[in-house]
Amino acid sequence: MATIRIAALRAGADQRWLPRRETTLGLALVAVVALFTLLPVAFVVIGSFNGARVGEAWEWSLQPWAEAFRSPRTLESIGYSVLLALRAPVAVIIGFVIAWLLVRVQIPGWRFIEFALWVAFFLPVLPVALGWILLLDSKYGLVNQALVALPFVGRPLFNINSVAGILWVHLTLSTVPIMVILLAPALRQMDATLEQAARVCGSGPLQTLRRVVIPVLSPAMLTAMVAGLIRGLEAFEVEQLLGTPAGIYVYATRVYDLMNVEPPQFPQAMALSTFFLLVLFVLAFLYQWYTERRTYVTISGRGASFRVIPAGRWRYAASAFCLLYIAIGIALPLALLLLGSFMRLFGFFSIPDPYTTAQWQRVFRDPVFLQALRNSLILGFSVAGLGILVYGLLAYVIVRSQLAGRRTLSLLTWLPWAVPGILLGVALLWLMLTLPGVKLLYGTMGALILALLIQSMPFGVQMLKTSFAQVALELEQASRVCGAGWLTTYRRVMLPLVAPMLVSIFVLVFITVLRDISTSALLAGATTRPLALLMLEFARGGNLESAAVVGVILAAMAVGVALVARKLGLRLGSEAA
Amino acid sequence: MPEVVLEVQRLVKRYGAATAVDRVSFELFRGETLTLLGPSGCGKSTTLRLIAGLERPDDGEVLVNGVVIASGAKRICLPPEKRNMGLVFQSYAIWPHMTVFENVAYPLRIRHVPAAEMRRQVERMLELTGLDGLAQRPATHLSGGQQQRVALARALVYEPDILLLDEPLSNLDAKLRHEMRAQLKRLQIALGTTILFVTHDQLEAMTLSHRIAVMRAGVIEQVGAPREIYHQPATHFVQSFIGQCINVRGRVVGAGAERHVEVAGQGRVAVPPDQLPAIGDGVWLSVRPEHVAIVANGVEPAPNQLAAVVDDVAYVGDRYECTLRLGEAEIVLEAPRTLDLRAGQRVLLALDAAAIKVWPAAGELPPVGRP
Repeated sequence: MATIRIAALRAGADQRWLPRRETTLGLALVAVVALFTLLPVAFVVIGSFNGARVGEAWEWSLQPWAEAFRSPRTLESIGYSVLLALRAPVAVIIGFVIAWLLVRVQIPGWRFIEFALWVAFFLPVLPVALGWILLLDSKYGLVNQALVALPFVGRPLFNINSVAGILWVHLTLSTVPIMVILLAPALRQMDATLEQAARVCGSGPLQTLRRVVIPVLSPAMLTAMVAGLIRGLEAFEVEQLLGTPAGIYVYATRVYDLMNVEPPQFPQAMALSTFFLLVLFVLAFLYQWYTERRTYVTISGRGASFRVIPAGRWRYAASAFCLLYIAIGIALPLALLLLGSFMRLFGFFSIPDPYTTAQWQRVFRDPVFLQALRNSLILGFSVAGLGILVYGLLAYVIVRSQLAGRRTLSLLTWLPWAVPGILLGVALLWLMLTLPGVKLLYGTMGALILALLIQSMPFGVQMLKTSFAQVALELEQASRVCGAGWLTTYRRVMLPLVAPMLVSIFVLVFITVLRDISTSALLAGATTRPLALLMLEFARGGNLESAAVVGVILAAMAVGVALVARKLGLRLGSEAA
Repeated sequence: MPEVVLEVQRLVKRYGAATAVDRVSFELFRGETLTLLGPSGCGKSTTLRLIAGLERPDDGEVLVNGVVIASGAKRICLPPEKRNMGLVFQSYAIWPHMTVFENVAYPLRIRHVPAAEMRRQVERMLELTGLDGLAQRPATHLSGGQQQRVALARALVYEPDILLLDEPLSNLDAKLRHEMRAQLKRLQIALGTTILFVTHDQLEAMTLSHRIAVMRAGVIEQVGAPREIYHQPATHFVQSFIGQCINVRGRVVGAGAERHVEVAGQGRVAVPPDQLPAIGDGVWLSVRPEHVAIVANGVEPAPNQLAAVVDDVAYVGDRYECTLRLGEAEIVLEAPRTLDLRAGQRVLLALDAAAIKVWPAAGELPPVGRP
C-alpha cells in the first residue's frame, strides 16, 4: 500500500504565483538584450542628429542630414546600393529555375551540382573576387588580354571594377547559390499531387510550372527575395575591393569611407545609416511578419507525394548549363586564385619565371598572418560556442516560458538583421568610446566576439525557435510532472532533442564568423585582426600576392567546414529527409 | 470513513470567452479510482491538467491532504514538479532520445536515488507492467501499446500519491485496449494507488472505476458508483451517455397524482410515481432497450405499450437488429429470433413502466436514440 508522501507543503512564497518573479525576470532579460540590440541602433539614430564636434556634448541639429544629402558621393552611394540590390529578384528567378531542375526534374548530375552549390554557399566571396580580378581586370585580366589578341575584337571588353563586375561576382558566387538553398526545401516539400492534377488536366511541364508551381511557391520566393534584398543592401567586401578603386560607393563602403577620413565624419555616417536603417527595418519587419503568419508544418515522411517530373532530352542541355555555370562561375576563379597565389607578381603571366612558392613561404613565416589565423579560430569557436548557449536560452524563453516581455524579446532578437555589419561596428565603436563599462572592451577580442554574437542572433534564435516549437509540449510537461524543474528539463529533455539543430547552428555561425569582414572592419585592431580582414588589407594595399595566399587558405577552410557540415547531414534539402 | 486525498472545490478555468471548467467540485478518496467521463470538449482533460499543475485555475481551489496547492483567488499554484503526482498523457510523451530504462528511471534520477536502488525499482516496475526484457530498447522502437506501458511505468515508479490518467487507452486498438484494461485493473489491485482517470469511453469507466463523475460542458452532472449512474441517472444527458437509451417525445397527460406520457398516436405509458412532470409539458420518454420488448402483431397499443412499424430487420451474426419507426423517431432494438418480423409490419413495444424516466424536453437537442 503506497504511503502518502507529499513534500512538506507550506502555503507561502515557494508556491505563490510567479507573476512578480516572472515579470522582473522577463523585463531584466529584455533589458539585457535591448542593451545589445536596440542601444547601438539608438546611438546611431541619435548620433545622426548631433551637430557638435567629436568630444563635445550632443546638441540637436539637422546639419548631418543636410550634409549627407548634399554630398554627391553619398547620394551616389544610395543610388548604387539600390541598383546592386536589384540582383535579388533576378537571382530568385535563376535560383528557382535551378532549384526546380535539381529537385523536381532531377537532371543528370543533380547530386554533384547540388554539392557544388553547397560548397559555393560556404566559400568566402572575397578570395573568389581576387580570382576574378586575375581574369577580368581591365588592364591585366587574362580574358581581356586574350580578347586583345583576337583579331576581330582587339580591345579589352571586361572591367571588373564596375557595377557589372560587382554584380557578376555576387550573382555567380553567393546570391544564386543562396536562392537555390532557400528555395530547394520548398520545392522538395511541395505536394506532387498539385502538379499531377494539372498534368492530368492537360498542361505540359512548363505550363504547369508557370501556372501551378510558381504561384504555390510565390510566398517562399517572396521571402527569399526580401532576404536577398536585405543582404544586398548591406553588402560590403566585394564593393570595397572592386568598387572603391573605381569610385563606386555603396552604403556600407561609404560609411566606412566617412569613418576613415581625417577627421572622421561620424554624424554624416550616422545620418546615412539611419536612412538605410529605416528601409531595412521595414523589409525585416515585413519578412518577420510574413513568415510568422504561416503555420509551421513539421516535415512528415510523406515520401509518396514526391514524384520526379519526367523530362525530355532537354534535361541534358539543362545539366550542361548548370555544370557550365559551376565551372565558369565557381571553379574557374578558384582555380585562378590558386594559380595566382603561386605567382611572383599577381596577374603577370608574361614576365620571366612567373611562378614561385615564395609567397606561401613568406606568408607562413609572417607573424602577422599567424596571429590573424589564431584570431580567426578563436573568434570562430567562441562565437559559435557562446552562440548556441545564448541563442538556445533566448529561443527557449521566447517559445516556452511564461516570462513577461516574450514578444518584445522576440522582436529584439530580430533587430540585428536590419543592422549591417559595418553599422554594428560603428555603433559598438561609439559605445566603447563613450560608455564607461563597455570601454574595457575597446581594442580587444571581446569587442569582436560581442559584435559577431549580436550579428548571428537573428539566425540562431529563429532556427532554435522553430526547433523548440517542434518539440511536443507534452514531452516537456511529462518531465515537469516527473519532478524536474525547468532548468533540468531544459538540460535533459529539450537540448538533446534539438541537438542536431545546435550542431548546424554551430557550424554555420563558425563559417559566418570566419568570412566576416564588415563587422570587424571598424572594430579590429592590429592585434585582433582576423584572417579575412587581413586579406582585404593586403588586397587594398596592393599586396595581391599575399592576399591570394590568405584567400586560398580561407577558401580551403571554408570547403573543409562545408564538408564537415555535409557529413553531419546538413543538406540543401533536395534529398528526402 | 475513507480519507480524502484530493479535493477540488468550485474549480474554474476560462479560455477567453469560453469557460472550459465551470465550478467543478468533487473528492477523491484514498485507494479509489474515480473517472471523469464525458464527451470531447466537456472539460475533463482540463480539470486533470489543473490538478496536475499544468494549468492555473481562474477560480476555485485544489487541495491535497487538506493543503491548498492551487487557488485562483489566492493566486497560489504549486508547480507540477512539486506535486508528486503521476501523469500518463494521452500521447504517452515518451522521450525519444532515451531508452525504456532511462525513461522510467528519469524521475528517480531527478530525486537522486542511488544507482543500485534505482535499478531495482525500475526493473520491478518494468516487470509489473510487462516490459521486462525491453529495458535497453530505444524509445523510438516501441509499439503504441509498449509506449503506453512505459508511460505507466514511469508514472508509477516513484510511487506518487495520485495517479492521473488522461485517456490512456484511446490510441490503442480494440484488442490491446481490452488487454490494457485488464492490466490496469491488476496494477490497481496490486499497488492500491489512488487513481483519477479521464475518458470518453463509458465501457472503460464502468469497468475500471469505483465512482464515475459524468461531465458535460464544464459541469459535473452526476457523481456515483457505476451501478447508481446506470440505474438512477440524475439528468437526461447522463442516461443517454451511459449505456444505450431510447428517447421518444411525448406530452404529459393525467389528473391528480396520476401521470401518463402520451406519445402522439402511438400509445400511452404510465409515469413512475417518483417522477412528477407538470401536466401538459412536452417531455422525453427515456428507457433502456433491455426494458422494451417487441410484441408482434398489434395495432391497438395496450397501456404501457407503444405502436411502431418495422423498417428493416438486419442479421448481425449473433442476433437480429430491428430498426423500427416510432412516430417520427427511429429506434433500433434487438429482435428475438422467435418472432418472424418483416419490413412494414406493425408491432407493439411493451415497456417496463417502472424503468422509464421522463425528462423535460424544452430547448434540448434530441440525444441519439441508437445503441
